[in-house]
Amino acid sequence: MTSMTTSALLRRPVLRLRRMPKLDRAAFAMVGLLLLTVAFGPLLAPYDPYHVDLGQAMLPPGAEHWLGTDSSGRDVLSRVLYGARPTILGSLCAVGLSALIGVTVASLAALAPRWVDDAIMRICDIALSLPIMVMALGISVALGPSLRSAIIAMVLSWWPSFTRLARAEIRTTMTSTYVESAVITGVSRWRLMTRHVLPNSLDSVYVQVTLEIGGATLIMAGLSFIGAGAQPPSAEWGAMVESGSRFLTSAWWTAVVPGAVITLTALAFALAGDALRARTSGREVM
Amino acid sequence: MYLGRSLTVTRGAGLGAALLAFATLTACTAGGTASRTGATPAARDTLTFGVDGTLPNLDPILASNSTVDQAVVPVYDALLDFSPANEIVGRLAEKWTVAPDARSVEFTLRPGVTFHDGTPVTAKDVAYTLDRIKKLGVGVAESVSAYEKTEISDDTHFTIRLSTPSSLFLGALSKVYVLNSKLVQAGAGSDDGQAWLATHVAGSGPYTLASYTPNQHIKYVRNDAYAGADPRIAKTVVYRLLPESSTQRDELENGNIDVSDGIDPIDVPAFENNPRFEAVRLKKPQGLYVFFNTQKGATADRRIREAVRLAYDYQGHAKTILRGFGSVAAGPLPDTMGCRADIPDARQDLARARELVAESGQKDLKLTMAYQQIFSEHAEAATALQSALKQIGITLELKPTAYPNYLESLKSVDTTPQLALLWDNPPTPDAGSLLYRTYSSKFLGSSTNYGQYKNAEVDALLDKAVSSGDETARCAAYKKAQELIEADAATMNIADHETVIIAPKGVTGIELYPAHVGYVPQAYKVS
Repeated sequence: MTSMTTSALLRRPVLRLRRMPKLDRAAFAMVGLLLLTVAFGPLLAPYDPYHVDLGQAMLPPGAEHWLGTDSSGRDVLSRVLYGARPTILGSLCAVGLSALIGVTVASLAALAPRWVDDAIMRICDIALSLPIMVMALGISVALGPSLRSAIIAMVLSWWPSFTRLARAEIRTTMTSTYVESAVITGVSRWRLMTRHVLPNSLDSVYVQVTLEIGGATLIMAGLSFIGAGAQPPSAEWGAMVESGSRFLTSAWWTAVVPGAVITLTALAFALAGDALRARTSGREVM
Repeated sequence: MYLGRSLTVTRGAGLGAALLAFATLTACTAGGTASRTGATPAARDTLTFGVDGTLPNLDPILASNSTVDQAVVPVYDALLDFSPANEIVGRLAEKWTVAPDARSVEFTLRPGVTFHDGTPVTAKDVAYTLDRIKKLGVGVAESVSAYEKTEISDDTHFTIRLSTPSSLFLGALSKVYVLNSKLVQAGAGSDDGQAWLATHVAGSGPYTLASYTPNQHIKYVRNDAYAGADPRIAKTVVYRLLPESSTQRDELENGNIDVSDGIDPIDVPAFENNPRFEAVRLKKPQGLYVFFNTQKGATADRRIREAVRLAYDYQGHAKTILRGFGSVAAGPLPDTMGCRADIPDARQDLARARELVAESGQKDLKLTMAYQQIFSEHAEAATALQSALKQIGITLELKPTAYPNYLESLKSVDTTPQLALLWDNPPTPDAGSLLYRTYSSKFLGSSTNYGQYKNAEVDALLDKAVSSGDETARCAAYKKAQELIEADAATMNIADHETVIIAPKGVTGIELYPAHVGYVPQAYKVS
């Protein structure tokens, strides 16, 4: 067998890690670090990220404030550490929900009559044709700009791509002999889907989720940057870039630090996604 | 308050890596901004101004909006104006006499003044203009609401009668731009010329309109037939509407605009060091305030209002948020105005603020503040106030609000925000013009008494001052009213603003005209 399921992958992590190329290892390490920041970042922050001290505004990076302070005298390092939660958790939420909805709809489509399947796919086509930014702006006008609106907008424009992916995989799996055998033995549709089809169809969805988290972080930050996402004084990274962008000429660190963190996050998740894909698509023969 | 500015978000969208690339690129090229040196300044025929705001309409009745005001100032004349020394001076009017009962004003027009089409300016035109304002009831109408009628004696002599005595009326005429009645009536249609005047000019000013594209640009050409025309002013004046500060900065650097008053304070030093430009600092008739809902909820309690006032770092605001282009406020009137009471600068005292909260008996108090997030000063001040209030145990929720929605919310005490962060521009330099409309209970539920403020003693003082013809008595009443308003902690007065006008070296005559927030291009001499 040239491809293996993700669950099998996870079963032998140590072995896998040793054989992994350096770049992939770095990507997974970075993702791990980011997830640790999400979990423990606020505990590590040296200052209150929301405490304004106008007398300490725009101090350059130094011993007291490692990454400097912003235009309101808030510690940039503390804000970046706190900002991991809204930015990364928000993206995880958006992508996770999209994948969940996408797979559920795809399963229904696969089990339902042909015309339902067609209808669902046309709905996906329509939803995919709407640019995410336009959709997000519309939603933030309707619901008021907030992190929640941004997540809703992202889910609304993202689920169809997961539906398409999962549907294609499910269709392929459905033609396997073991699925046909299961059908002949008379298992229920629910059991067929959950025990036989889905576990063998979702590898590419897992990979896609990892790949998309990087993109989602960019979009989440972008939405906050244009004012449709997280609102001040939230330490969300995109909002930090936005408020710091005025001071690029005098206090570059206020925008460049959160900007760099956004880039690193997107890069780490993209590389990790790539590495995962390489493993599941069988470039490496086990 | 009137803000002739765009209330829509026009920030460009950029994403993640692109942001960073842009950030890095700009950071790397920063500092190069001041290095460019130009040729020695030469007299120029054209001055191009960067204008911050939107301008869909040129009807001078809307001059209460500061962007409209600066667009009509070059092409129209008012009867009167305020000089840089805050004194009333004649424009179309040569002489005026206020009756002792402050219920009428007698005017004599300057002889020989003509509109752009050559028609002489007469008393009939003044009467038409004021009657039209009264009939339409929009824009500047509120400030001349005392107007009753004009009695015409002859072409250059007339008397304006007021329905109630009003000492504010004379100053308010500085924004009543006189229309060419014959021309407007010819193009009027059924809407008193509103549609026609939105894109045409019927004035007598030192410039004529050459072209106008709503919200984009206006071109003016010098009116050489203007009585008292100054040959030193630019032959052509162009306004380009550029709502973004960074766009104005770039256009100024690249020579696409010559004059800008919309440069972010952070970028001003680069222009101050640039030999091509001169940076003129002027006081601006504008202050930043927090208006409390003085009638409902926790902010109806004077102690809570005072506590909020004492929590804020005013020095930090002037120094860090305004970057020195402004000063700590002292009382409800900006420092460009006359008749200010002797009120000390606002100051921070967290210990006293905590005591006041404790005295009020309020625990875990939550307040909500409306603010206009698109203005960076508002966004920064809101965040700073939120953090300051946290230190005295008050949670402040920030609610981004568009200005028209805010005005709508003032119609009832119930919908008026507990706190609202706001710029306010006095209509004229007369102390009463701001005090009366903001603190008289006559304006409750209108869009100008921002705090729904009501104090019978203040009402009586303001009424007395407004109807008094005696300047000394009037001033004394205004001062007493300011002290009472301050004692009530009705408003949190944060800062008085300065503006910086960046203009090419060699341009002179850049001064503060206190009745106008924007440019007065006919004052700018280029040679």
